Amino acid sequence: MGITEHVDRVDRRLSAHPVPLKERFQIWRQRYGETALLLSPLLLYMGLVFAVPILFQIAFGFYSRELYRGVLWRPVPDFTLENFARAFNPEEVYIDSLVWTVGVAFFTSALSISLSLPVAYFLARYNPFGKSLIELSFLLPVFGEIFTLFALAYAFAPQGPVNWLLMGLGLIQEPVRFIGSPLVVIIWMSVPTLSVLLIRSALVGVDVIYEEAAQTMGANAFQTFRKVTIPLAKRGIMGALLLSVSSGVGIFTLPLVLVGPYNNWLGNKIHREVTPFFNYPMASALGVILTAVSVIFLYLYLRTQEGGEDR
Amino acid sequence: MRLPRYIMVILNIYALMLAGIMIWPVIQMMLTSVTSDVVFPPRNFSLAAFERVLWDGFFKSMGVSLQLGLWSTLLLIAICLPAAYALERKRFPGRSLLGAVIFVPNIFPSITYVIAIGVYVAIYFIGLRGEFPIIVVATAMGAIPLVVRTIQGSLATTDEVYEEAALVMGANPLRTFFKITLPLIAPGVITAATIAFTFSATNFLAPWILGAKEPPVAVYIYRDVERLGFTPQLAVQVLVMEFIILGIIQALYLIFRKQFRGVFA
Amino acid sequence: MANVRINELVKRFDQVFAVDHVSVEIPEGSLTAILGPSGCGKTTLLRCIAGLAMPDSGQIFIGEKDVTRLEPFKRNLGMVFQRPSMFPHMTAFENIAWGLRLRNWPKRDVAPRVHEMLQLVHLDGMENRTARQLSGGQAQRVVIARALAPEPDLLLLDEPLSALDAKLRDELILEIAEIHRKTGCTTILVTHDQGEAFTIADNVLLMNAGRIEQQGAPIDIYQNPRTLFSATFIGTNNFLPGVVLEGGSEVVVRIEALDIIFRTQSSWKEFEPGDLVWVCMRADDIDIISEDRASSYRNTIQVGVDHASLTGGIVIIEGRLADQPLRIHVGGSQRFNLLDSAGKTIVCGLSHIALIPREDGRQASNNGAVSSLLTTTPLERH
Repeated sequence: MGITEHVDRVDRRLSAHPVPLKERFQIWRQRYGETALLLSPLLLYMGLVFAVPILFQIAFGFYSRELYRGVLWRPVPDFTLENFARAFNPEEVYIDSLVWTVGVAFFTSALSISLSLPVAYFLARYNPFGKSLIELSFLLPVFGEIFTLFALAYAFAPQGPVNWLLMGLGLIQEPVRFIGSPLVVIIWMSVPTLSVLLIRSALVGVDVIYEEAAQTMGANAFQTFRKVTIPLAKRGIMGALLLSVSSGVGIFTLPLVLVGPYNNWLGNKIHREVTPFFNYPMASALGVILTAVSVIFLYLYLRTQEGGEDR
Repeated sequence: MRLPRYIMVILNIYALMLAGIMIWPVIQMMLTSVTSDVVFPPRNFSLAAFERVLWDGFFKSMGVSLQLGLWSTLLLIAICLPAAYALERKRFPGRSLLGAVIFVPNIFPSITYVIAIGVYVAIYFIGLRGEFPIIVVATAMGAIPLVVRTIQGSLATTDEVYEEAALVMGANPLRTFFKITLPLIAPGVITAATIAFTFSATNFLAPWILGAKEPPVAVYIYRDVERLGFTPQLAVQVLVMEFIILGIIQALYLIFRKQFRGVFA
Repeated sequence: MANVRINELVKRFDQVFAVDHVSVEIPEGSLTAILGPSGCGKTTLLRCIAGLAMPDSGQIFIGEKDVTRLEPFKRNLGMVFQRPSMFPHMTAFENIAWGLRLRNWPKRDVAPRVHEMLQLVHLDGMENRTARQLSGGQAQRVVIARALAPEPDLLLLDEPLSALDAKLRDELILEIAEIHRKTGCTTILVTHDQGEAFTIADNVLLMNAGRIEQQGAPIDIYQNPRTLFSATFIGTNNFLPGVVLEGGSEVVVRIEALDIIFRTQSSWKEFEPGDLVWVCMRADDIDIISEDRASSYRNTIQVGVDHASLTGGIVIIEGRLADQPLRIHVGGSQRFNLLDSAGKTIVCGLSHIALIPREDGRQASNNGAVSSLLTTTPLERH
């Protein structure tokens, strides 16, 4: 029950005879029965709605397919590596797409983090004018994908403010066609958003003492920042980077709408295998690969957090 | 560390600029909705776009969104509330493992697991494809980690002593939960419900990929964007959508504030 | 109202025994204090009685009923906790009334009973206040009222005053005694504060490292400690290692190191010649006397004064008996005369000596703190 502690372990020394199975079940039931009941909806739900489909996805990656009624493909239970082989075949588009996806995620994450460093540092150490506003604004992307889509569409439209600014500054003669090219997505991914908050907490963890010490030793602000602050915050920064890449790899809606259905991101390629190609096995295989990539970066992230505090 | 004043000013400006970049789209959206075309600087102010909003289809899909939000939230609370309670108040083998496992749906790129669900349904439940219950169930998955974590946080900051006192006073665990625990964690539960509702009502990925037969508003708008591009009318629709949803949340919040007097600081 | 019988109770956390084979009886209607340092297992013991912790083995009987494995809400108890436990979302009235409804009190009896209880704790008129509108002390009183309202078999108090400030503690402890007198409910108070325990309890269980060191009335524990722990936990004691020369109604003990003989009575144990003992002299039981009064004491010593100071109203003398350090607390109107006695030798009469069995090789420091005696402190769960 709620807070009542139960027997930690049935201690063989304390009882005269080994505990019979029925009684052992009774004890288990008394101790964990309520907990099991509380957790079962969640476990059931995640099992049926997440674990099972994912397992099937992995399995489907190994299926092949056959023509059904002449026009429709349907998957055939099989064990073939042809999907994965195709995925990694340099002559097909997929490996290119994978490289592009990971590359963009990495590049934009690195850029985003670099750009967020000054702001994050500022927020970590000082009380800037408009602090609450600034902090609030970095939470805005949470508003939802549709909102972001529209906002970007308008911001980067040929007649929109970005082009207006660039032309006004004389940098370009004609409006740049952002929408429809990968440029808009890349730019958006490079803008520091949540990464600012992540980096800030990494920087907050660096004791000011070290910076002050460096300054008393004669280092100026830049030197201190470069040689003292950053190295000490390295773990947090690496963590933010890896987390950012891990989630950047799975981007889907933005490229779909702002670049067009035939963009080079892997998420979209996966979707296209389903619609219009109905190639579930291929889609599944690619899905597995994309997930694996994301998980690898996540694992690396967890590794950087090791040796620190518990999760 | 001590920074020269000019650097502080530059940093401050930089920070405000970035904040501005974040906030600008909201303003832009609002500006666009009151113009008749998409230009910067804005011109041709007119409210023409608002007239067209009264498209049947829009409000119908808005209704679907709200229902999606509602059912999804109910499902999430029903699942996550007991689970959060178990995770926070009880000890059992595998407790920290389970705590980590819950976050897995957020770790997977959402596109892959939504497609996995879609493929799974398409193959084994072909008859149910696009049906509302499937959409609800699939949409809710994405919010599980956040809802669990929010409720768990609320439990963590509520002293267990109240529950112990109730037990000794003669209340069985169920009664203790509904009479004592729940009122005390109500703020956290309401916050979690709010998050769940917003996430589900505005969700695009799951309903779209799974081919929702009754599209929620996010899908509806997307389809219009495909057809018409980013017109001001659609900007209006997006704003109206956000407005309605936020409005509902605020209203519910105000209602519940009165219910739980003495608990909110 | 009921008595409590505990039989060979064991509660472990991992490898540590929080409650180590405790067997004890708590008399019906008593105000029993379970006293001990942090981590000694007293709270764990109380929680086992309450049902909030399940023992690994042993039995607990409340009255005639075996409640060992019974859920807490099926035992008829009232409990007051260390941390504030008045339900924040209910008024004082509702807090108490809910408890009555849980125990199926008839509706029309609820309100009168609530008012009765509020009067008992001197809070009548406050029934519509919530916890935030009450002070810490008042909230605890509400909790006490809430615990007692349904006429429980036992009232359990788990360090109820430690979250309050000192002055409030002094007031409230006396109120608890008053409430006990009025209701007659068997009360068990867990505390680490010996002052609290000795002020109001009629029965004290002294606990250390999961075991009961000694049980008895306060005066009994004070005057006749049976273990080194008992002697050092309460008050300030001086110890000298000795050997029993003669047993019987008057025990003769020789302090080897100083070649002094003491004579005393042992009320609780038969000592045999050759037994190793600690001779315990309480700092408060050493009287400063003039030479001519020496004969009215069975045991007198000569103490060389190193230092005399005035602390908390009493004069504390740090001195030595030969080379053994000694501490004396002097009260009485003549005490100020001693403040300039440094360097002098004074005559002391020992009004009371206690004897405690000694194991070879143990050390005792003469200012009460016997750190080598206390075993590793087990976990104490709150």
